[in-house]
Amino acid sequence: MATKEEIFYSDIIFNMEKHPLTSDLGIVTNIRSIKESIINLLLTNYGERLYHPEIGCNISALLFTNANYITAKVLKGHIITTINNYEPRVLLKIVDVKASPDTSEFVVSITFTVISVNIDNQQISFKLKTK
Amino acid sequence: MATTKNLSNLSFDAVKADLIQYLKNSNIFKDYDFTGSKLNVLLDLLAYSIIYGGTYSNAALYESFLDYARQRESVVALAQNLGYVPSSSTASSVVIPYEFEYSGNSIIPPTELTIPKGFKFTASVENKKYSFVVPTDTVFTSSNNFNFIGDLSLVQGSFIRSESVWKNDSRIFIKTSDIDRKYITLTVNGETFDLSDPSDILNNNAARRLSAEKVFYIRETIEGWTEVYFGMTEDNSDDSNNLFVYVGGIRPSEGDVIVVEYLVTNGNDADYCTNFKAIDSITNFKSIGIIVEYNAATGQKIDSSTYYYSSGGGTKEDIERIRKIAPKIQEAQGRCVTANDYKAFILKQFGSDIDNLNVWTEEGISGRAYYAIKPTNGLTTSPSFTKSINTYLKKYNVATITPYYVDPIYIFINTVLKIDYDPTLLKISETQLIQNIINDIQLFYKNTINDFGKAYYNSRLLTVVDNADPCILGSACDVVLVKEFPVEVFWSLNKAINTANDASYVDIQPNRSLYSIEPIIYNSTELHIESTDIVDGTESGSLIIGPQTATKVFINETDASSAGGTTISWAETVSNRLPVNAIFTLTSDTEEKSFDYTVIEYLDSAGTQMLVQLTDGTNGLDRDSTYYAMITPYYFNLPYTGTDFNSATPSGPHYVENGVWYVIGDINYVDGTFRINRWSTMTTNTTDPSSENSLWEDDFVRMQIDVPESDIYPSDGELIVFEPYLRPEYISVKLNPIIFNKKLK
Repeated sequence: MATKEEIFYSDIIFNMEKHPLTSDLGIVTNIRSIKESIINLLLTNYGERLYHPEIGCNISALLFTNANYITAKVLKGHIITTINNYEPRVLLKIVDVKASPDTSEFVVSITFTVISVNIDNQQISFKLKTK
Repeated sequence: MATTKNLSNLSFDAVKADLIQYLKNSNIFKDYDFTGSKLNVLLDLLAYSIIYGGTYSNAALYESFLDYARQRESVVALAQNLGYVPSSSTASSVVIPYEFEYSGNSIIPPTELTIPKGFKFTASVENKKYSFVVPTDTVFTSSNNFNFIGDLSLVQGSFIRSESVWKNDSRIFIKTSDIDRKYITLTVNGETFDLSDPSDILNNNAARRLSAEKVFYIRETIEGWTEVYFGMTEDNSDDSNNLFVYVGGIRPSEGDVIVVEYLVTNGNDADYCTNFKAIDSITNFKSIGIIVEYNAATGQKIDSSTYYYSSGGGTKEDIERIRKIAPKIQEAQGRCVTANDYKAFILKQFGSDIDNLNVWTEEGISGRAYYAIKPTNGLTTSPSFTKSINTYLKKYNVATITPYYVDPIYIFINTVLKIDYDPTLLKISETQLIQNIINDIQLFYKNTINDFGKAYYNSRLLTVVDNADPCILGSACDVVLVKEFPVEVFWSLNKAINTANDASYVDIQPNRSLYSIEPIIYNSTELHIESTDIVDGTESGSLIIGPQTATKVFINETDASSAGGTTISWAETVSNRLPVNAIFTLTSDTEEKSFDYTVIEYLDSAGTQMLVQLTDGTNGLDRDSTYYAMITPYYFNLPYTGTDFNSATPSGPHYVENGVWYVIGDINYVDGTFRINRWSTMTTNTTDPSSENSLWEDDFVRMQIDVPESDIYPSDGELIVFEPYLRPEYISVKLNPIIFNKKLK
């Protein structure tokens, strides 16, 4: 298993802030890097990436529909397909999408394992509000 | 990091892979090859930026070469660097005989009437009206004190006038692309400046102009507009001996008033306009209209409003033509010497009306350069058009060479297509399918045979047909070669054979001087007829020509040879053949010179005599020579009655109903020759041949021959053409639906 100091994944920080001490471009590493990558993929729409219009999850297209069970199923399918296609570092364990018609939102919870270093039960949770 | 880079690969993925390869040497960022990482998104942007810049640079580089540039402005700019200003739109024009009548109160009317520049007419074609204007002040003189008659030149369009005050850094633009630059006029403080065409290297070279000359120059801008510019007045630059920076001519001074007038035109849209009517008026004068003509035989008025139609309109020069001509114009250095020079000059000036051009000389015949033209619209050119080409060439060619126009001889390939198709796959109507096939064939001809001497390959045509629609299963075609000869050319063939007294075997070579006839057996590469094509077991068939109108006959000319002075007359009994002002050619059998004559008057209303007048300034005819009117051939009196030609009575799509065909020779199917052996019989009583246009159904005669060998190699100078609209009889498509039995599938 990787030690705490070892960096096996590193990426630019989400908001491109600079490091408070070194003033270098901020870096995110390891699990956080993977989580930000997954969020980035899920928030990408088809056609946003240059020359690769197929990359993305197209969630925003579903957020114009009613927050109900059927949409939640479709959303779940999109999330699973996207992560399986474009994030080879993780193995999905649970993807849970719950529709909340009263508040017009979906609550998404993703549980995964990082394959190469076998870090288990990592979770991302967020809410998507329909428009 | 690699020290060398492959810069030739400008695809997005390759550039991105190159960047990722670079990042692999870094330990700071490791997520470069995971699609969701922000680093990967940045790499996308970087790769996009690189290929954008690379593609732009590549395109810009291509645009800087005349051969590869795709934008019109690039081609025009590069051509202008070579001293070639591409031609603008051309206004359609016409000359009409027009009459005004004095309607004022003065007892003594003026002796002259000036029709001012810009005087407007309207005319129409296909229910669209266009305006025509008089391009320059034209003076008519009175014929009987009250009537003013003369030829009035009209050009299509409207004159626009723009006025500006000159400043030292002024630039004058004509901000429209639809102008005919020939009609630009310019004045500076009322003084007229002349247009100096910079592409006219020999005569109007800017470096040869004197500094005090009142000239202006034009060039095309990248917007397609026209810029007007001036000379330098005097060369006071440091390098005064450097002709590269010298532009002759006076430069206006600050505060001078520049007035530019130009003609905005609709180009070839306004061709074939008729019914010219004046819409402007002149004080004290009444516009009568186009001069009325009378039918010589009946004395009835002829509706002359449709006699005169506009022609010669053209669009802006196509960039492919600019690309082709500009280097040749530079190479010619303003002089017509080689065949390429002639081509370049003719195409430069008249290119919008020319589809194909061939120029050649004949060994052993000095002093002549021949050219043949297939016009853009139609198959024949007007005498006035070729005359204007000859006049234009005189400025540039070697003094001892005379250019001669020769009608091209076209080879039509009469194609009978048999097509099997699957009706279950046909998504359009059969009529539409046939039209699509014909359109594809037309494109095939345009792309592959669009030049003199280019060969025709049947298999390639069938490939095009097979690919015309997915429903087509297979195709086959029969090929018949057809040559059409203008009637007057046919007559000269006839005369030449009589002169040579050898009517055995003839080959009609269009690119010889004036269609000379040479005893020659057909070369098997030109017309190859195999012995397997023996029709009905015979080895030969009849060669026939036609169709002629059965109901009309020729008359004998009575007085063609007695001409003198400037007029010539002969009897006419057949009415209404040649309108006043028709131009035709008389040729002597004793000398090889021809004159252009114009019919000026019928001597009486019964049309018994016709008067023609020299129009080329020659001092009359030689009384000792016999001159023939070279308009149509004499009659033949040998109508075809047999059935041996192609084993069939002449009928069907290739023959005009009720027409009469004449036997003129025979075809040997074994050795591939055809023999014209009836000339002497045909030309009985032709010592004084007359002319009769209306004898023939068409103004040409056809010779046709079956060709089992389906690849056609025309001799040098012949042109294979496909004109489905002008000659629809030369293409027929037979569709054969095939219904598949599913059990057999």
